Amino acid sequence: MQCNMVLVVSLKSYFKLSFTFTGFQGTGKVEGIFLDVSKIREIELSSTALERMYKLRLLKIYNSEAGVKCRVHLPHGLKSLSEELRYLHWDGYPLTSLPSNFRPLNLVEINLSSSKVKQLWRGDQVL
Amino acid sequence: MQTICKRLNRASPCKLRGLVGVDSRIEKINKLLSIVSSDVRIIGIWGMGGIGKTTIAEAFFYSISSQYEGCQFLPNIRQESEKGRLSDLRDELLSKLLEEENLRVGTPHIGPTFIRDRLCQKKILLVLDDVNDVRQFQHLIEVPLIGAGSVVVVTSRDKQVLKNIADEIYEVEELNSHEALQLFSLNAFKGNHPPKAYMELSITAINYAKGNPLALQVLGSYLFDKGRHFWESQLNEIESFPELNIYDLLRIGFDALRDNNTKSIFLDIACFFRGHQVDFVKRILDGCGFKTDIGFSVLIDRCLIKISDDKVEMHDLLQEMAREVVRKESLDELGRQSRLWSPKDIYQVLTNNLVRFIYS
Repeated sequence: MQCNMVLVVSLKSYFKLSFTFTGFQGTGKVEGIFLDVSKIREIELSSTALERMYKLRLLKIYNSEAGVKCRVHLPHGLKSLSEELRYLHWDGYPLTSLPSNFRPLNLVEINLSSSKVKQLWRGDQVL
Repeated sequence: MQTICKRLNRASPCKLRGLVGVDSRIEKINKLLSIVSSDVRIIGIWGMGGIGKTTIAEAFFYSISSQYEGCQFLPNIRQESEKGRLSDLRDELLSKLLEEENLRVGTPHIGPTFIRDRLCQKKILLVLDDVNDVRQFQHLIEVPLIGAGSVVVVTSRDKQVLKNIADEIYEVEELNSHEALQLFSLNAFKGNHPPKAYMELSITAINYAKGNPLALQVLGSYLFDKGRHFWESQLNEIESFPELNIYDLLRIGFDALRDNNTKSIFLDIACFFRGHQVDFVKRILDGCGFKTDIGFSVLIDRCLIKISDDKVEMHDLLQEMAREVVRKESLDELGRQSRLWSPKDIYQVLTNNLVRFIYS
């Protein structure tokens, strides 16, 4: 157990460190995104769209109008999600699982209604 | 007995303590009502943000609700409409007015005859708060269908909207200097008058707020329990604003939250959680490592948020101010902003492209 903890801490600091050097292009400061998909047309996100948002703690992709399907697509999957994430709500999340390297260490609420998720994570996760 | 309880319950003014100048304004609305002769009388309440439209409408509602067979106060219509909830709201409204559970109309017009028949026999009192489009009004209620003697009150920041709806429009005046001093004192000293030593400083402060109740409350509660030195330095700072407007004053209330924890909670609420259940918001924010209980009590004391019906609420103007704070974190590049709520901005950040034809 202690070993695990150490690993987590060092992994965390490694990511933080590497992002400080690569995070110059914008999105590194984003802590929260609430997107009402009924207000946009379809978008296809790249698998790395959320990669640099290493501070992201609140993510809600929702639909204020009944009957509108999720318009956010991930044709190439999703590579990563911030470990800082506390709240994840994604109506109609289009993939069958969350990114395999996503460690939901801080998550307090997850809501993936009408999604295609079959299995949240591959392997065991400590919650 | 049941009827009496219901009436007492309705008329309960307990929510309305700490109000200043409301009685005289209610009287003016009553005067306007008395000059309208139509079967269903519609009164508009118009004024700038923070002037007290909702508070006055609420107080008016409680003052006369016992005289009506069905009473409903619908808050935040603009916000509900943006969330696409107008039809739900209309169904809820009709269910409550007709005292029937889970009534579903389902169509844009109040269709079924049995609803029409019952509605037109009822004398109702209805308040539609913060309407910014005539269509919202039309969607919620069909005036010819409600019973004779009914009263509908509509509040709006947009006079044009009210001109198309109302028989008479009441323009909410600013508080006069006596009222302003009293409201300010209630927040700054928890009393009706300032102590002598603070009289002059208080007058300076209320002059900045220009009779706007929201600004008076925010400014007063932020100066509460502070020493003379603090008052002087803060008021000097306010004086240095080139063209002081109400946003600047509210912003001062925000800047005065020294603690980043409380600031973050306030900004999260303004950007994401306004109108959500308190328990839910607390759970998420606690999870973010914030001291939510302390934060909430500070924000409530400073008149920056309030809890009503177990929901976290804040004034429109404070929400606009908070969102402006977030926007100013970065004007040149969106991704440098900590919170994103506008679909257009998010689209741009997520796709990293110029935005074309996003709105459907």
